[in-house]
Order: sequence, then structure tokens, then C-alpha cells
Amino acid sequence: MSRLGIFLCQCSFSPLDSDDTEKLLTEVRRHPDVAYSELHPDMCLNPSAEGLAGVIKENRLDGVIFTSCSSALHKSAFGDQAQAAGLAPDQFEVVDLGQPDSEDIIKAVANLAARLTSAAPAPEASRPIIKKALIIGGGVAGIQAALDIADAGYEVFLVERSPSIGGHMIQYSEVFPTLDCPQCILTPKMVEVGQHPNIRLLTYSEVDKVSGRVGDFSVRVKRKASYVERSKCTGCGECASVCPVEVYSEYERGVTSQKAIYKPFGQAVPAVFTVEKRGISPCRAACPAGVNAQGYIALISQGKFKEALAVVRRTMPFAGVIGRVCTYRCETECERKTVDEPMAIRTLKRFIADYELKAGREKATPVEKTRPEKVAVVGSGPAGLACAYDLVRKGYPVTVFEAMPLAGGLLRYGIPEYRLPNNILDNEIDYVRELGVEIKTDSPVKDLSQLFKQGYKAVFLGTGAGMSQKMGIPGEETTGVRHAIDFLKQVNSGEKVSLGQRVAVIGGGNAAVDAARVARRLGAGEVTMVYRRSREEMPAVASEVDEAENEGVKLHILAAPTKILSQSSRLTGIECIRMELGEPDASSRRRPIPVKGSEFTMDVDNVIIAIGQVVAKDGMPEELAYTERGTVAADSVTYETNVAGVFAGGDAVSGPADVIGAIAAGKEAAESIDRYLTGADLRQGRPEPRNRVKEASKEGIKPKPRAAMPMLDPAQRLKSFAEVELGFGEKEAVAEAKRCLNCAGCCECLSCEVACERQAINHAMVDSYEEINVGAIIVATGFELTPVKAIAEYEMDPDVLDGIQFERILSPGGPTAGVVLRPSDARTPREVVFISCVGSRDPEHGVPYCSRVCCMYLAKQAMLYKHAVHDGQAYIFYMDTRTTGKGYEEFVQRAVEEDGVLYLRGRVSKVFRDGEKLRVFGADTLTGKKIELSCDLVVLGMAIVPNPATKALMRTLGIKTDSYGFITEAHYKLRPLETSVPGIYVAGTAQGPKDIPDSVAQGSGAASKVLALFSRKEPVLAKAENR
Amino acid sequence: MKEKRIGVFVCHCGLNIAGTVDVARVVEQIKDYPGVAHAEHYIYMCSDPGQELLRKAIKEKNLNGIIMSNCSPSLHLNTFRKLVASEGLNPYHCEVANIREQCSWPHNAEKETATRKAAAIIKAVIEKLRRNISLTPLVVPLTKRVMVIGAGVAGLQAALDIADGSYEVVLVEKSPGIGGHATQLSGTFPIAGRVPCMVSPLMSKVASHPNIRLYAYSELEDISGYVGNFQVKIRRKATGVDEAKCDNCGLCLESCPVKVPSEFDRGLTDRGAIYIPFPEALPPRPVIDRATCRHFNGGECHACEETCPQKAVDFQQEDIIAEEKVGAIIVATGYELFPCNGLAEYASDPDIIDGLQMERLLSPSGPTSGEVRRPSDGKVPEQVVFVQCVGSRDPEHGVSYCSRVCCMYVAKQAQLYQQANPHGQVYIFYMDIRSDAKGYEEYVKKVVDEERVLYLRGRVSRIFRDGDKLKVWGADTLTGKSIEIAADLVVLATAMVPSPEAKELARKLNIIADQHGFITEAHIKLRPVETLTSGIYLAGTAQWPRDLPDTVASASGAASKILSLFSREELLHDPTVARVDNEVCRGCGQCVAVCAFQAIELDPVKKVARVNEAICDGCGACAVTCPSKAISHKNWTARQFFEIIDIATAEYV
Repeated sequence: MSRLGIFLCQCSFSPLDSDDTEKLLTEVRRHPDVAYSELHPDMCLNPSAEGLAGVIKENRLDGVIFTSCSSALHKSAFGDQAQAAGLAPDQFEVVDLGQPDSEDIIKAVANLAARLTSAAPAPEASRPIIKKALIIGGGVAGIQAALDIADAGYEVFLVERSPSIGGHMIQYSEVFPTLDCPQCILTPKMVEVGQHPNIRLLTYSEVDKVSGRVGDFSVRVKRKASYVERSKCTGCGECASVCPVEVYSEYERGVTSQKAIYKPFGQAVPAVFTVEKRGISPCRAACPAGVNAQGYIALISQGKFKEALAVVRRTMPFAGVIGRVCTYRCETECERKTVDEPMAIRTLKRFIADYELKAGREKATPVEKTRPEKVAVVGSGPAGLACAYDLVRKGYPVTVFEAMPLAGGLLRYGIPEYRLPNNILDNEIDYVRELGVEIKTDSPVKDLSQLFKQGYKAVFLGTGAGMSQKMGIPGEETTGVRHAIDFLKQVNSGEKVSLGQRVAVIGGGNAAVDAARVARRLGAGEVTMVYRRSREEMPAVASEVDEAENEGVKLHILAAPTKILSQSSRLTGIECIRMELGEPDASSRRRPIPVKGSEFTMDVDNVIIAIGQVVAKDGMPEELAYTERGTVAADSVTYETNVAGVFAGGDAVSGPADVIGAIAAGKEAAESIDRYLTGADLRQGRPEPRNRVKEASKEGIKPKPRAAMPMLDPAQRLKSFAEVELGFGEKEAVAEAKRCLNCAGCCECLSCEVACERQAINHAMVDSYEEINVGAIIVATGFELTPVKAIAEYEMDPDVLDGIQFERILSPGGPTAGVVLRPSDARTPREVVFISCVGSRDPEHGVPYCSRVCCMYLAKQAMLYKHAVHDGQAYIFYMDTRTTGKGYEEFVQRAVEEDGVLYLRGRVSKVFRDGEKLRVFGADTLTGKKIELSCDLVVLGMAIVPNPATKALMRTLGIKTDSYGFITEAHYKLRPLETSVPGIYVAGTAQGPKDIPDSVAQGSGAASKVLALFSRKEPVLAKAENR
Repeated sequence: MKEKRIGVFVCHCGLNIAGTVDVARVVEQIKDYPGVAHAEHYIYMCSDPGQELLRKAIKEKNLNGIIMSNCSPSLHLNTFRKLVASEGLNPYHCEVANIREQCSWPHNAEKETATRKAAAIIKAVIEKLRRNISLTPLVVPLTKRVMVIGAGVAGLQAALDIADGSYEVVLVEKSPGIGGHATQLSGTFPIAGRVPCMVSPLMSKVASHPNIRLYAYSELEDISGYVGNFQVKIRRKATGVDEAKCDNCGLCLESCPVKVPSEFDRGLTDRGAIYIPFPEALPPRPVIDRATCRHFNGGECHACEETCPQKAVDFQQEDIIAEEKVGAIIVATGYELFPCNGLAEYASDPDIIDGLQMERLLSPSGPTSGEVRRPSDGKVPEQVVFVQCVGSRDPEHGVSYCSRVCCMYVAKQAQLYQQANPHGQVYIFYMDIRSDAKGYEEYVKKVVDEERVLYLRGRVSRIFRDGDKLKVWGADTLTGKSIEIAADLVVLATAMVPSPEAKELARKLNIIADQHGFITEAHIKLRPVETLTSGIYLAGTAQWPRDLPDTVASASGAASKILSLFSREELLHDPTVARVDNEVCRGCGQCVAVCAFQAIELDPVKKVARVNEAICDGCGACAVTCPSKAISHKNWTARQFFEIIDIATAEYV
């Protein structure tokens, strides 16, 4: 049982009338714990601590309840009084009487009574204040706050999300009303922050976690990987000069681009470079082998062909081969397809290889053998050579055993020359050899155990799937029936192969298409491909099928052979049955179902079967395990087989598949072999997680068709095995490369790494975290503008700019060096229309509030425009002009009177392009007339909104924000710098739209709150100010 | 004198300089000038890379004199001097040649001339620099106490922040009670609340704060000294009531036979000659207004003295001059309203009131207990016309600027009136609606939507009485029609002007007030709470019209400047001060008379002038006054001036 006292405020401002009060008092007195209650005429206006103490003592009260109109204001005053009367902070309560409602106070009485009768309160823990401050946001408000606190001798951590401090202010050209340039007035402060002994500047960092309370916050700061060692970087800019990638520039707001390794602007503090990485580009992520397509394309776009080829060779040696025969999954995923057509990635890769070959390749320097363990690779197809290539570069002595007279496996014997000329393949195999790989041809491996006996410590099996699959229909053994794989091998080996006039090719894969096209070249007049599903389901590359048709190959789809027909052991034709498509099968293609009784015959002289290949088991150890499909059983990640030290990959494991898949398998196996030989864990960190870029910005990208592949005239083709696809010339390649959207930002071509003399660049850098301990936090996270595209009535156009973009165009340090030119055609705009309140004061399209600064900056921009283009005309559409600051009214007057800026009161309903001009439809509400203007440039005063990137931060900090995301102050009139959490303060536009002087004053104001907290002699009472 | 090796660094300042001055040519012209060991140009000398460039040149070229030719020295001289010092040179061997404000800006259409002039300016400064001597800043002690002038919301907030920061505050308020205009106000916008309820905790905290010494009914009498060391004299006006005896019983107030208009109620009620501004005023004690008291105006009246049971009334009491030593000062003298009767078009009439009078009518503690009744006959008005921008944005009749708060308080007053009088009708004449802070736009919209308040865009040309009604003539600029309204009450949102004493105070404090009387800040963008006189800061509406949140923020901002200042143990003072040549001085004393800073006195023994270097501002008045040319300034000797003039005139005219 406790003794509670109730002090009911009855000042003239109380919402309760005397009847309400009486009722309330009667109600309250019924509570058994209430020992005292009274009406107090002016509790908050004129409190007397002695009087209160007297009442408390007299009535032996152990709990007190005050009523008040606003506890945000009065709580601490009442708290002081209660404490002066000897009560602990948890022995009093303040109830807000916003509405005359007795329920609240009854509830409070019950709560307090319950709290006081429960276990005795723990002794008041007090803790010393950590006299360090954290400031979040390095704009002008944060800079001012940091300097004020640091100047007072306390340590400050300034955390800024972007690579440099300066915020939006540093983007502006000149500031109203004095027309000072921000570079002149802000950079000294920025430099001071950078050099201040009490300030620790944490740029390119974000607050990740906050715990604790006023006086003692623990903060985890995420230091984003900038890929440049800040301590080593001198800001010289050599890296940017070689960087081939142009990305969106946040500082220039897209008016121009910047390099992927960049310093945001000349005066950036700190003056260091940062690499923008957004993940792995879709093309690179789609490539099974992880070839860095964006990397070499970026270099091609700069004419750096040699460097581009080096990028491919970082992954695999087959630029020329893969550039011809790849199934290009990269192009399927290419983001450019959402604009127009995917990039011609494969052909660009081929281009750099051809370019080198044409120029004459220098012999490769052998890699030094640093490892003692010999490795044997069986099979010199793409899997084997890729494996050997990676191993030799890791320093292993590698020997490749090839059964055939020439190396290359399927590449040599399975792909016809008109697709992959021999000299291309030879060149790339030679390159692998020159690096130090020993290739033994005519060397079939009969017994694997022999290899181990010869001292090889590990073996990779890349023996492929070289046995043709049988169809299992009558007559398959008839002379004149051939298997595609053998047929192609014979042709590629230079053997004489004769065919009849009419040839049927069974199958729809790449081998079938190759066989059909080769048959045409060997003189067969009528070549028909018989395929059991529809054309869409053909596994062959679609363009190859097209070319086959161009060369006269016929397609017979939805048909399957049932019998080979012969007369006196001479092949005469095939019997087929028509098919129809049923439900999708395991391959998710629709299953072909024979149509009963639809049999028909085709008269042919030869049949080439190309329905698949299987793995040959000759020469393999007996204990080697196989899958049900007859392929070698190997782990899908590590490619280990069940035999120790034996790894396998490529078609031997996967069954017949594409070349790039085989290369990928060879590379993975090489990684496993290296781990196996060095005793490392085979599985750790595999498969490597790939942070694929989900979407690239296509803003401002104009459609431009993909470069077409120049082709050999079909009439020429059938006479020889000359290459059909001719490849790009230099100009075409560069132009095509320039279409790349650079989805990942940095393309990791590593040109910067080479250029940096200080070796400051580290592409392997990862985000790190830092724990700091502070006593107070100031949030100064600033604003953003709503995007122009949010306003549907205004067409997106390069010449429709937002306010900050136009600042950049006006700025002497901006992309046009201060000459006013419009972005679309770099011409001087003769007429410029400025529109205020775009998305502001407009709840339907944007926000209901006023953005406060637009009236002034548009007036300033119109004025600066007129100063630059004397005979130009500036129009400003406005709702109300809001010029409430010092000197502002006079400033706008000057714009009107001295510079002839035309103010039109009214809203703009539409902005759209009309040839070279932009049309603006609006209304003048003063004359009531409709207005139609034709102009060269439109500048929109977009609404100011809180920086959208800070939403999560506010949750982390636990501070309240309004529905727009602006920080809610502790009291909107009298505590504008404090948030809902003690010890966390707010400054600048994070609290609401405001101009620079107000932001600076707030920055200093918030600093003063921190300084007052830090100069307290007594420690903070933990409970009194608990959250 | 050792010949200097001078480096000249020409800044482009973006296009600010380079757009007009051919910087490359300037460098060409300067690099062979006698004494110049190095010259170069760069886009932004003040930036990090610019400073690095300077550092490198000092080292590599072994420079010992630096000319930065860029913007005004008030912006960057310190930046570069600091840098030069960190390279081991005496910072006074670094000078700025201002080729922006003094060259490229005024001559922006004359490239050729501007380029020649820039070179001349630089050469002139080279001649000065050549004769500069090494100086060391003077160290002056720092008194860590603050005087705050004005105890409105700004002054209270600043005082509290500083006092909470553990420093002592002397708070000087000219009226008998603290709280300022905020105590007169009724409700708040954009969230409903009551201003006095909000301000009272601030007032009671200040009144009871152990670190705050409150001088109410007091004014600044005199001030001397300089940052860190101000001596102030405060006139504590005689209240006529012995504070120690008075128990605020209020009997004296009733006894007084005098009736004069109450300042607090803005003339809507009367007060006695002995009065307290309002019941809850702090400090809680009456004062006798000698201007109106019969006792002091030839009368024999002793009414209050006789009534007082405590014998606290003391007609003999005299003003007391208190002396305080402070290190910094905050000016928070607030605003007044432009007088209603200053406008000829609007007749003087009891039912034409200003915004603050309307506040009193709307206040629950006001003369009508919050029920709006018109002053002439106590009737509840049915047609109320508000006129905005009366005397604001109107250079012919009042002031040119916008008063910033009127749009909002008028909306609030309209809302409060309309809520209490659903049958009444409110008209608001406006020019532009300026609801540009948090929640303001939404608030005005709510008032329009929910309260049926009629906003009319246009100015009012005449208001005059017409029987029981007031006729308001105006024009609606949106429809183009003229408007006539028969109103019961007219509220004029008159312009906010600085407190009338501000100009005089500014003169005393040696700070600048603009043509309106608002105190001028050191830099409008980046130093909004400082004045150009170091150690003196400003807060609230003394600087410019603003609302409560901005006032509070600026007050805290000013406090922060002082808390930073006080974190040092002592201050450094610029050593470019006056110097007396004792051999030449004949002790005439003319310099003593001319010094505005009281920095010079005559040595009674040697009969020569003696400069207190810690006070001397280096203004030069003494040097030009001295008939024997005995006074010169360190690094600004007559010789240096003449060299500068010679070069400038030879090269340029």
C-alpha cells in the first residue's frame, strides 16, 4: 500500500472546466492508494518547490502525480521539483490532459501504485558520460555541429555515407541572397573538419547498429569497402584516367558521368578515390566459367584491345574459340535487352582474339613451376585444357594426354571448320603450351594407375562423351547410316568422305546442324533434318539453324524415324512417324507423342544420326563409379570422383553439353586439385556466392541496335569450309562495346591496379565494422529531391532538369564550366521555364508541405541564367513566392526588376517535347488566361524529402519520424533540436526543409545541447533518462 | 632585412576570378617581379589539393613569404596562415591579395583591365609583404561568464543552455518580467497548444537556476573591454519596492489610483503605476512606474506605501549600477510590431487592432478570458477581417521585408476565432501565403478547408468607420474585382520590427545593425549566430523575424558558440596593433581621445601614449590622428601604405 498525491493543474489554459475537475477529483479520491489530492492553480506557471516538499512531507507521500497540458515540456520541471522534495525519478508521473478524460489519470494512479508496491526499486545506477559525440551526415549541418563540438575540446566521430563530406551544398553554383560560391565558403570548413585533431572522419560509412542510452551509446559503424586504401591514396587521379567505365555521377547528378573509380569532386574531403561496385554484372554471373564480359567490353569501348584480351585470359585461354562456338548464356541475361537488344558479347570476345592474331601474337612467357606435384590431364578438349591452364598458372607441372594425333578434342574433331577455323584453335592451344603445359598427343591412357606410378599426384579426366548414341530402330546397321560424331571427326581429320545426293540428319542439336551443313558442303543436294519436337525446342543455337536453312538445309519437324529402309543392303530411305506435343517432360519441354498411323517414308541415300553421345569407358579404372546415365560420377561442386586423386569434368561427367560448361568444370576441378594437393578443404567457400546485379539504370539510354554480324555470302559458302561468320571490324567493335550499360559499375578490369603507383587499390577489400562509444548523437542526414519521373504530367526529357541538376550546369566547376548549355544538344537555351512547387504543396502528386527553399533558389537560378545569357528570357511559374529570410524579399525584387525575370502565378499542367523545343502548358491565375510557352529548358523545383536512404537508420536509432520520414522533434516549438530519444539530437533538413542559415544555426544549436550534456558535473541518472 | 623568397599563388575560384582575370597571364607577369621566387595558379587554392600545392611549393622552393591572391582575406587569410605556420613559417609573412571582391567581381566585363589590375594588386601586396615583420599573437585571459541581453524565449533558451553547460550567466531584461512576447500569446500552430504553458517551464528554470543571475527591470548602461574580458555596467532601475520585504500579496496594485494602458495587454486593459506585468510574472514582485506614478509627478499620493503590510514600498530607492565581468555576450533583444497608426489608409479605431492585441483577446488569461469581444463595445464580432503584410513587403509605407510569422499566426487566430464562433465569418487579405515550415502548409490548408475561412488575394486600400461597422475596401487580384466588407473587427498583421532600443544597444556594443535595426550577422549563410565583433553573438528575432522553433534553434546555436569559446583556457588576439614610438611621441593625448576602444592611455610619468594591446583593434584611427606620426601599426606602417599606393597608381591609373 502506498500513499499517493495528485496535483491537478487548474491554470487558465487547462482544458478542464470546473465541473470536469470536480468529477475527476471525486473519481481519483476513490482509489485506495490516494492519500492526498488538490487543485493547483498554477503548478507549471509558478511552481514552488518548498511548498510541494511541505505537502509531501506532511502527508508522507511516496508517489506524486502531476497533470499537465504537455509532458514534453513540463516533465523535467516537475521532475526537478519531485526530486527536490526527496522523491526518486520513478516515484512521480506526469499525465497529459490533452482531452478532458479522467480515464488517463485513473490509469496513471493505478500504474504508479502498482509500481511503488512492487519490489523496492533498484538503487539508482549512475554512470559517467562518455564525452564523445557521433554526428551522422557530413552536410553543412553536420559539419557545423562537428566543428562546434570539436572546437570545444571533445572528440567527434563524423560518419558520412558518401565518399566526401560537403552534402548537397557543395553541388550548388552560388547561394542566395549574397551569391557566394559554396566552394569558397564551405570548403574551408570541410578542410577544417578533415584536419581537426578532435574529429575522426568516417566517410563512405554507415551507422549499422546502436545500443545504450544517453551518455553511453555503443555504435557499430559499417565502413563500406571503397577498394582503395585511404592511407595510401594521394588522390592523384591516375587510376581514373585509365578506368574504362563511365557510371552515374551522384555529384553531377547525372548531368555528366564519372569514372567507376572516382573522387566525387575536386575539393572532396578526404581527397581520395573510391571504386563503385554494385556486384557482379548479369553477363558475368550467367557465364558458367565466370568470364568477365563487362570487363573486356569496357576496355574494347576504349580501344584497349590487348588489355581486353588479358581480361579474358585471366579466366580461360579460349577467347577466339569461345568467341565463336559459345552458347552465350551471357547474352540471354544481358540487361541491354530491356532497352533494345542484348550486347553482342560473344562476337566482341572473338574480336579481341582475332585482333591479336592478325597483329601477330607474341609468344607467351612460361609460368614458373613453383609446385613439385605433377598433375596429369587426360583429354585435351576444352575441359582438360582449361584445367591444365589454371593449374599451370598456379605453378604445377601439367601433362595433357591426348589419344588423337592433334590436341583440341571435340573442338577440333567435333566442330566443323566453317565455324571454328583450325588456325584459331591451334593458336590458343599453342598459347596454353607456351605457358608450360606439356601436351602429349597420340597418347591414349590405357590405365590410370600407371599415371600415379609415373609420379603424377592427381589426375583430371576430361575424356568427353565421344561415343554416338544408338537409336535402336531396325536397320540402324545398314551401310550409309552414319553417326554425326564420327562423320564430323572424319571430315575434320581431312579424310575423304562421300555422301549421296539426299541426306537425312536425325536430331536437332548442334551436332545435327553441324552435320547437315557439312553434308551440304560435301555436295549433298538435298539435306533434311528430322526432329521430333517443334523448332522452338531444338537444342541447337537458333542462329545456327537459321544459317543452315540459308544454306539450303530443310527441316522436317515433329517427326521421328521408325525404320531404316534398304534394298539389297543399300540404304534407300527412312520410315518416320509424325509426332504431336504432349505435357512437358523432365526437361520442361513438351514431350513428343507419336501420332498413330501417321507413318510416312522419305527417300534418302544417307542417314546421319545425331541424337546424342555417351561416355566411353575404355582405359578407365574399374573402380570408377558411373551415374545411371552412364557418365562419370563426380561431385557437382568439387568434381572429385570416388577414386582418390582423380577428378573429372566436362562431357564425361555432364554428358554432351556446351563448351563453356566444360571449361567451367575444368576450372573448378583445377581449383579442387590445387586444394587437394595443398591439403586444403575442398569444399570451403564453394560455390562462390555471386552477388548478381539485379537491375541496371537505363535512365537516359537511347536505343541503338546491336551490331549485326557480317556473314559470308550464302552463295560462296557451299564451295568450301571457309568461315561463315566474319567478325567485327575495329570500329564496329568499339561502337558495339559502347552500348554496354556497365551494370556492375566497376568492371574489375584491374586497369587501375596497374596504374596506381602507390598500390593503393585493393579489389578484394570487404566491408568492415568499427565499434565506437559515444555519449551523444546528432542526426544530420539531410534531404533528397523527389525524382522528376514521379510527376507523370511532365515528360522525362534530357532538357527537363531538377533544381540541383541546373545548379551543376550553372556551376563554374560543373560539367559545362559554368557556361549555360542544355544537356540534349549543348546549345545555349534562349528561353528557360522554372516551375516551383513541383510535387510540393500537392498531396496528389507528391507531398502536401512546402519545401521552403525552392522560391529562393529558382529566383537565384533565373538571375544567374540571365547573368550568363543576357538576351535570354526566364519565366517562373509560382503559387506563392515565399521569401521570408533575411534579404530574401529584396532579392526576388531584384530578380524581377533588374534581371527581368517574368513571374507567372499558376500551375503548369503539362510539359512535353515538340521538336527542338519543349512545350509548357499552364495557367495564369491572375489573368485567368491559359498560357502556352515554347522553351529550350525546363527547371523543376522538386519537393524536398528526407533522404530515403535513412529510413532504416531512423529505426536503428529508435527515433520517431513523421509520415514523410522527417525526424520528429521532442517539442515542435521549444525543443526543436532534440529527438524522441534523450541524447540523440537533430540538425538541418533531416528535421524538415530549411535553408542553409537555418541548417547552420541548427547545427550549432544541436552542438550546444551536446556541449551542455558533456559539461554536466554529475553523471546521468540512468533511470531518469531511460528511453 | 633578409630578402624574402616570395611565392605567389593565384586562385581561379572556379570562374569567379578566372572568368574575368587571365590568371595564366598574371602569373607570367608576376613570376619575374623582384623577390618572387615562385608563382603559379590553381582552380581552388582553398581546397585540399590547393593547400597541398602550397605546402609543396614552400618546401621545394624554400619560400619564406607567401601571397595568396584569391578572395577577401576575411574568408581565407586564416586558412592559409594556419597552413603556413604548420610549415614552420611565421604566419604574418603570409598575405592575401584580394583579386576577387576588389577586382574580378567589379570588373567582370573588362577582362583586359581586370587582368592588369590583378597583377597590380599582387605587386602592391608584395611590397607590403616585403616589409612585414614576424609577429606572435597576444594571449589574453578569458572570463568564462556570459551576459545575455533580453529574456524572451531566445534569451531564456541561450541562458539555460549555457548555465546547463556549467557557466555563469548574467541575464539582463529591460522589463519587469521575463518571458518576452511569448507570454502574451494564446495558442500555437501547427499543433494546438498554449504558448505560455510552453514557456513557463523555461521561465521557472531560468528563475531558479543556480548559474543564472537575473537582472530584471535593468538595462545595459556601459560596456568596455573585448572578447573574453568585457566589463559591463548594468543599470538596475529602481522598482520602488524592497524585494526582500515584498511577499507579492497584491494589495498595493489595488490601492493605486492611476490607470494607464497595460503593456502586457497592449492597451486592452489598464494597469496601475505600481504593477506587475501579469499574474504569473517572474520575478514575482511589483514595480513602480515613475513616469506615471503620482508620487513622482508632483503628487502627494502614498496609497501603495500605506497599503503595504510589509512596508516594502520604498519611494527613496534609487537606480543601482551593478558591475559584472563577462567573457561573451548574446544579444537577444527581440522584436516589436510596427505601429498600427503608422498607416494613413487605415483609420485609427479601437476595433482595428494588431496581431498581439488579437492574441490577448484569444488568450484564456486575457482581458476577455479568451472570448473574442471587440474593444469598442464588448460585442462578439461576427465579421472579422484580417489584413496581412501591413507595413511588411511595402517599402513605401513600412518595411521592405517579409515578417515571416504573420501568415501563420493569422491562420491560427482565424481558426481559434472561428472554432469559438461558428456563425462568424473570417476574411483574410493576403499577398502570398507563406507557410514554409514543418506542418505549416498542412495547417493553413486545414484552416481553409475546415473553418470556412475566406482567403482573398489582394491588398486593402482603405479601412474606415461606418456607424457600427468598419468598412474594408480592397481588391481580389485573382478575380480582378474590388471588394467591400462591412466588418466588426479588423486585425492588422503589422510588420515585425526590431526592438526600438536595438540600434542604440548595437552602437554601445560596437556591433552592426542594418538599416532596419536588425543586428547583422558575421556571415549570412555560415556564421548566422555570430556578429563581426568577436565575443558577441546574437539570437532570435533581434537578427530577423522568425518563429519560435527557429528562435530556439538560433539561441542554442549562439550558446554553442560560447560553449566552444569557453572550452579554451585563454584567447589569442591579433598582434597587428598600434605601436608608439616613445622617442617621437610628445604626449599630446589626441590619440587617447580618438580611440573608440579605450585602448590608449597616457603614461603619467613618461608622458607618452601607451597602447593596451589586448584591447587595440588595429583600426588605425590613432595613427592618422597623431600629429607627430609617432604611432604606426605593426605590419601596416605608413611606409607600407605608401609603397602600396605607389605601385597601385603607377601600374593601374
